[in-house]
Amino acid sequence: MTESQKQGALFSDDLSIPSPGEVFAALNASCHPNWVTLLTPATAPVTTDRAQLALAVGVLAANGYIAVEAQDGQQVKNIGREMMSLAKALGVSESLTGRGSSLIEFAEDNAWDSLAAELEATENEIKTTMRDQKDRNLIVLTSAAAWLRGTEVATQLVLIDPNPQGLAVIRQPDLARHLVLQLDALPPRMKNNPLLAKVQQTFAEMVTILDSMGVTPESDRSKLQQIHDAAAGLVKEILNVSGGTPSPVPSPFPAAATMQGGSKP
Amino acid sequence: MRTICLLLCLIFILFGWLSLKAADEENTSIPLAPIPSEARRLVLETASAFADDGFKVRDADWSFALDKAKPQFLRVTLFAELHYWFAVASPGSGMKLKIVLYDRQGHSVKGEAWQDTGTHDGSRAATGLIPKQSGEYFVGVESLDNSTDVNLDCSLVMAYK
Repeated sequence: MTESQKQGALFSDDLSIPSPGEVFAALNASCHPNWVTLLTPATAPVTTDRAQLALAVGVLAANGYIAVEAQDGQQVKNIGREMMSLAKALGVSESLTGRGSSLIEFAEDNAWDSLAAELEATENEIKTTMRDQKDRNLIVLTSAAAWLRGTEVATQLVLIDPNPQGLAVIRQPDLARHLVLQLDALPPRMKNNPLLAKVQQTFAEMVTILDSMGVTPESDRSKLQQIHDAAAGLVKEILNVSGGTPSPVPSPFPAAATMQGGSKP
Repeated sequence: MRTICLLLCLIFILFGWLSLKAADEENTSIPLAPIPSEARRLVLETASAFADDGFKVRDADWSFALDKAKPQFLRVTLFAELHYWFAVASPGSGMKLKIVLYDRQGHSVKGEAWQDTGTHDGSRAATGLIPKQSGEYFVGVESLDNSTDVNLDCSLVMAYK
């Protein structure tokens, strides 16, 4: 493969960014998380800012995957409802009427694999409608926010249980760099949005930190903490959660306890 | 009598207008799902074999036109803990498609290859990989068919477990 072929390779909003389900599957293999402890009640922000709404779709989609991993049907239903209200606020809810009822139906049947697939389909349908409505710029925000929430969770897990495999899931400077480029390509009117300016700045800082990281979590603990705090703070701002300061990482818990409470092996 | 006739006419007009409005609302409130391309239909059919084997097929595809002389490339991020399959399909029968995976340096990475032997509609190929390292990779799709120089409609999907 030539250098020009590498440079010309497509970066697709849909496939080049790993889905939260993919990130969490990799974390399941490396960290064996207790997903129940990672669940956070999340409600859609009350705002008319379309950029913030698009970011919130990504965060809520990632939260939906966490609820699926935790096998918490009620939480999945709540998140599904919040995603529907976001879609309505964005004016992209017309094609999603069936999705909401499918999410509820699968949650009631504990059909976790179908729920994960339905969550991804819901997120993608919102993105497709954005594309159809010439709101293509919002798509990258949704994908970036989902990855941001995934990074927040991944750093939390590796801080609690330091292991190189978990760190390898987080250490993706190339992906972060591409997201920075995509955000940089947004039209100036969007980049003037203070929240988006902060998203772009945070991602740029994350690239610098990720580039300087080694392979052992112990030596990179302060860098992991920096990434976690930045991601957690931004997620809270996206969801309009009061008190923008990030929550501290919970203290490590015994390995045996992590396997209780309905988490998947 | 004239007033009654006029009233009846008005009622009919109003009723007709309301019926038309309701029909119109019904038409606009039931959105039509996008019609998948034939290439997408074929690639999803191919990927369903992986889904049967416990793989999760990402709910997105990469649609592109493939020229014999010009392979196409997609950037992806893969994790060492997961097993991936990439599948590509095109409606044209008898074409030889090939998927090659490259690491971030652009070196080809050996994976499991599958190519349709002509038993299915269209042309199909797939490649599987368990990456040794997490990070950026490139998915290359090329046509090995010398007789093909037109742009082939292709669709690629990925699955993981």
